[in-house]
Amino acid sequence: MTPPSPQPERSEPGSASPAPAAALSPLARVGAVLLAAAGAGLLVLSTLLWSRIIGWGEKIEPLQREQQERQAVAAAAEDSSSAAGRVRLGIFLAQHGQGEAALVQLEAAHALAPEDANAAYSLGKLALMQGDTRQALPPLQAAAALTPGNPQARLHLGLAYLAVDQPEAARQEFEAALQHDASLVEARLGRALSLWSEPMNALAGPALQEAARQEVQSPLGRALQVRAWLALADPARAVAAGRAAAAAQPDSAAAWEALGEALVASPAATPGETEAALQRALELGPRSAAAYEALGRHFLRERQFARAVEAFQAVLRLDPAAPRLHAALAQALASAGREAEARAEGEAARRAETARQQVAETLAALAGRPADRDLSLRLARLYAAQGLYDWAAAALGPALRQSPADAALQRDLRLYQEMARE
Amino acid sequence: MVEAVGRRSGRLLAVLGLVAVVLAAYDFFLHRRLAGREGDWQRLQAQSRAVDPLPALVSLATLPDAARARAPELYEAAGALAAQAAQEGDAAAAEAALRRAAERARGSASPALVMGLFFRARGRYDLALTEFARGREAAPLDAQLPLQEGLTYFSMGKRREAEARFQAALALDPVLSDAWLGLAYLHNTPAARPQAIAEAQRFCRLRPRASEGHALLARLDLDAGQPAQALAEGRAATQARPADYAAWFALGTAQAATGDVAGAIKSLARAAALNPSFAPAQFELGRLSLQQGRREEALRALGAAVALAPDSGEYRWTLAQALRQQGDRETADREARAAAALLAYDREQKRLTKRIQDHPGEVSYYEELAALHLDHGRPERALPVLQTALARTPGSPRLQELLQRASKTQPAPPPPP
Repeated sequence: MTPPSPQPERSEPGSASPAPAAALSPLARVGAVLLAAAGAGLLVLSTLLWSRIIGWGEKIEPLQREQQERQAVAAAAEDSSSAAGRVRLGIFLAQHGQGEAALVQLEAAHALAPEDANAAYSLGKLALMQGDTRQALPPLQAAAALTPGNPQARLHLGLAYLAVDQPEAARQEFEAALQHDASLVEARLGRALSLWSEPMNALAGPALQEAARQEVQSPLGRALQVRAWLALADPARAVAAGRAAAAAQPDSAAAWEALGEALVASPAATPGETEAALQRALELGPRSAAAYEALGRHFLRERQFARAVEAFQAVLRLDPAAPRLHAALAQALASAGREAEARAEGEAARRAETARQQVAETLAALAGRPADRDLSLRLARLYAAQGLYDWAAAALGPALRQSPADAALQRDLRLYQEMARE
Repeated sequence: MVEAVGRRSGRLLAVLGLVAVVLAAYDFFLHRRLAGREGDWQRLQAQSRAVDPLPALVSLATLPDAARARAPELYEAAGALAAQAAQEGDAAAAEAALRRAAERARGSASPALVMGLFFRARGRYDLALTEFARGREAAPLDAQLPLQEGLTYFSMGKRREAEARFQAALALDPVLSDAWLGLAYLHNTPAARPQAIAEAQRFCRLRPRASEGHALLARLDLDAGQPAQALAEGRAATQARPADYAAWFALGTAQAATGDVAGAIKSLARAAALNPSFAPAQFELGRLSLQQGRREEALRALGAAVALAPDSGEYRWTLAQALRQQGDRETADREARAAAALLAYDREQKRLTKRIQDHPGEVSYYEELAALHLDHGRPERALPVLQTALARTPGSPRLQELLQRASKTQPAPPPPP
């Protein structure tokens, strides 16, 4: 007989289970539960910490890249004896919101190598982006003359001409840009706008409408689109396009300037939004003539005449030759009850119009003889008489390249350089 | 049985405890790493936002002379960047970077010019003059170098040397407007006032967009007793550059002189808003407000003026008047005592300086002036006086004794506003 095998004890219902925990004392069981809970909490915490570390890493990475780029650019500027290094530094500074320092670098690059088309183009383009058309025009003219086949240089020169009310010259540049690159949406838009701006050109309407509906990406292209809708007397679409431009490029002076102009023309816009948009444009581009002009018109509409006078005086400091600005200041002064000053400003508007015609005639004559000394001198003096000293200095360029030892040309150049200083 | 249960419990608890400790340590490590990441982000963010003027300045320091001549506005940019580099950031690193640039751009005057501007902005006039002289050797026809020397001498109070350098600059470049303005400042004395006016007018013709010439003309006209002309010049200055605090100050003082106190207060308030650290605007604003019985505004502006220029007896005296009107006699008396002492010090200083100008060979006046500065806790003012005197009589025991005293004395802290 085999002895009966020992039977495991049957546990009574409700009694402790045979699992290991059953072997623990009640105090240890509490401790184990607490430690397990603490462990689980710590695991959750480490997951959280890791996710935050990864999040910070993602934030830090672009800043580290920027820092490396900054160091590389600084090293290049330290080593550079060429214009290219300075152009690179200028573009980097502009991209990082240091517009003034960027302009200095690009001016240095342009002064170092006046025959370098890229330096001239970069300087002109940056000045144009900041709304400073007066400073933009001479280097863009130089860039287009140095590389007539560069569609971007021709496009930006066209934009500058459009901003200074020279639609015919602008159209020629846009057409030249399109000859070299037919896909340039901005050039098509600019051409349509310049055709529309020329007098007696009612047929340009449909072309402008078609161009305004095109998809554009660049800040200057979007600004053109806004102006196209404004030209077509559709302020609602202009405001929509302006808002899209400012939302897409919140750091672009041109985008805020365009939105501000659209809001000034829109009866539905609130004064607060209009002023804020234009002030933002001026923060980003303190030399934006278009933003000051729009601000002046906004204050006129709001019957804040003293502020309108200040805004128009500011824009005339930037663009002293524009007859329409003198007329606008005259209107603001008259509205403010300053009759004598308004009359004087009206006279200034008439003189500016006469001077504009004389400049146009001289430019037409110079087109056939670009290095003619006497014509260059005449153009420079006409510009100087209007307070456009930097343009006066630039106008002497072709004649000076032809005869660099001409003492009279050199003397006038030095004088205009000094008078252009601010 | 009980013992086995105890052992098992102990083992389990120990394992769980160990796991918890390891996890806690790991979390601590992660937390530290997270804090480090946050710090990195903040540092990089600050670096990204900071405007470092050095790369741009170095780039200008290596610019060939011909390029600088083509763009004269770059001189101003270099001056502004040099001042920024000298005042912000690591000045030693900036100096080293500029020296490296100078090594690479040998033969050009640009590095010397930029280094000179940098040293002048740091108040190291001797080094600045050395650099400008070096630049002049490299580019003897560049009028900017004698102009910058002249401006440095002007900052040092050496008027004769400054005038000679301005004239040298104009001989090289007769349309160099800054040299004309420098001469106009130098000639701003009763005897030479017509000359100063002519020079300032010349500046205005050469620089129609600048406000400095009109602002100086406003001051000259006021000194000449021509308030109406001063007013016109003040208006021209603010129209030329509405963001220039000095233009609004010139207009404000001219308005006050013509009796337009309300207009003057407006203009001076604008000057103070444009440059809150410009003490004269705060003082004039406070003085006029006090005249108008606007005590709160007067106290605020005069308090700001005294905080900015605690050594001015005139400012403290006017503040004492405002405090007295406010009824705060105790503070008013304290301010009045401080003002009286400062005014007496100022008077004595002027008297001795005049004596030195009239009798430059008489060392006793230098001794007296140096002792006066030392008695008022101003060794930094005594030192240059003693150095000039010692250059004349190197062996003087009294001067040596004063020099020792000057080098031991700490400059007095500015009195509390």
